[in-house]
Amino acid sequence: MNTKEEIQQDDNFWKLLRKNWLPAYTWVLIANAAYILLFLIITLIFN
Amino acid sequence: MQAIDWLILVGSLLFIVVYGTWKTRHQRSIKDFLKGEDANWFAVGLSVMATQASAITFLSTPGQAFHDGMGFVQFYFGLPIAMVIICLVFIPLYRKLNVYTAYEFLESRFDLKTRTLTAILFLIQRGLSAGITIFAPAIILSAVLGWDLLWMNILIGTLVIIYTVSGGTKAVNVTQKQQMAVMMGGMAVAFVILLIELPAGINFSNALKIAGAGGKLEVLDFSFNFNNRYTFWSGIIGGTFLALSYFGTDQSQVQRYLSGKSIRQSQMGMIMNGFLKVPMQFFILLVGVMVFVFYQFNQSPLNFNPIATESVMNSEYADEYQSIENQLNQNFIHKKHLIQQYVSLDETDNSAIKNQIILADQNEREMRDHAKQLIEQADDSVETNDKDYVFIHFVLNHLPRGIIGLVLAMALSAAMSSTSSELNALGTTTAIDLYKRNVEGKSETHYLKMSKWFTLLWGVLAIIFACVANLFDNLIQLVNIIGSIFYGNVLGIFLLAFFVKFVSSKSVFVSALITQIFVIAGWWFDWMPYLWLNLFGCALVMLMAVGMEWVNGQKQNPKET
Repeated sequence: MNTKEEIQQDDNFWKLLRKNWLPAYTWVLIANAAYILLFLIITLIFN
Repeated sequence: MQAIDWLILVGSLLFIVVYGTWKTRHQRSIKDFLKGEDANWFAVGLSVMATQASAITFLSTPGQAFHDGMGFVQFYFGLPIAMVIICLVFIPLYRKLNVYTAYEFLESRFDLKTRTLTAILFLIQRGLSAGITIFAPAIILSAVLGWDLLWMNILIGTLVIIYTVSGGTKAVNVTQKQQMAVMMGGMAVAFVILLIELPAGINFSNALKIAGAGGKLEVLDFSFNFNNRYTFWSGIIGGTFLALSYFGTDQSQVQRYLSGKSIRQSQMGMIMNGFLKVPMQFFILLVGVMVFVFYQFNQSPLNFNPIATESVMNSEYADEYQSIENQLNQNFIHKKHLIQQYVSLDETDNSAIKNQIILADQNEREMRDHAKQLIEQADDSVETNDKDYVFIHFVLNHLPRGIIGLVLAMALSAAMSSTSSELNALGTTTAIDLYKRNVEGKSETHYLKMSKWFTLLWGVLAIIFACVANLFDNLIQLVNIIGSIFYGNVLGIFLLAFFVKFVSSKSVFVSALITQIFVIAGWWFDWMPYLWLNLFGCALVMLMAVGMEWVNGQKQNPKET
């Protein structure tokens, strides 16, 4: 099987996404949400 | 500039160039030169951040906060989301196929012509951007320091060429560590000095209160106003989309994370970027806000661009400009008095004064806008938007000896770090996607030598473009337009490659060509603001390719209908 066929038949991207949902990926999104929350507090306090 | 400033500036730049060249002097294979593949996650993360942070990030962003507040940080809210998608989808596939460039992957998925098309689109767009990365800080520094613009372009470009041609990807990674240290060190020192320079009785908390009264701490905007460029929604949706195309399909970034020693190291480097990018931009904007507070207690010019001021003062509008300047000075004294009252009162008592401060701010803004109109009437070729000059004006006029040299080293380091990644990527794409793919069967040494020549060629082209950039009006906008014309189409092709399995190479290639014609027409006939061309191009190529595939499927299997 050549690389082209291999990729076309490889339908595991979404499986990979679920399987590799490691803490680091979750934490970076939580951190992003925390930054936004902090900015919301700053906006509310100083305006 | 004093001798100590020159010593710090020249010393730090020369050290980075010599160290980068010496440390990576033994490059024997094309893999070593173009890929590296020995960087740990920290080096990958720093390299990715240093590539994105150009001199304009450090010179212009504080000025943006000075004029418009901190809303710009919202632009980066989508970046961490894009980092996660790239870690889970893009990096594993690029590593699995062991590619040198992102476009190489497209040949595996589609065919050679799709790979060549996207590689050429990248070369056009990034080749022009490399010139601007050199030109943009050079024109600012030449305006404020009186240095010759031509020689500044040549100097920045030559320094980058030396270590990028000599050491390739490894040299880019090695030097970006030091450049990042100089950049963040320079910004941190400027911030500390701004805090020290606050008048007696004004602490950091008061400074934030003053900035808040001036409307500079309105970080979040949840409105759905399309005319407002920086909102929470445009940051989350548009920001994710833009970061995905920049980090996922632009070789200048792809090459940074492919230099990781393993998939895990590449992924962690990108995650580091996802963690640190928003706070880093927030900090740079905070420096700008502190510069705003500083100028509430110290006189500021009517326009921070010295060339603009010189033009209007040598014109028939000089008296009118002088009169506005006098009004600005009176407004400054009045506002300073109000601010001192404002910080000395409780929250419950100071709302009336806050309204007066807002009014004084509004007056100041009107005066500055009027001054811009006069400058434009005096000389319409001069840049009236002075946000690029605010921070450097503060640095040159208010920072102590030695620190000026450090901040200038910071700006030039940032210019060099972005340019080196760009030249590295341009040389790699030309060598791998165009030359090696079409001239096969040569020795490893030959391809290594050609990669170095191509990097040198792009370096020289970038310098030439930077040198003639002054001839074009509003050049930075022109480059952004060129980027918007190509980026969406390229991202659409990559998204089809990753997520739409049934689409064939023929449909994608034809759709990409038609889309490119439509996007250029959209720009030419002004169908939409140019930033939306990204989304338009991406959506059009995807819909068209899927539609074509569906029609082809119907033709081949007519019984199913």
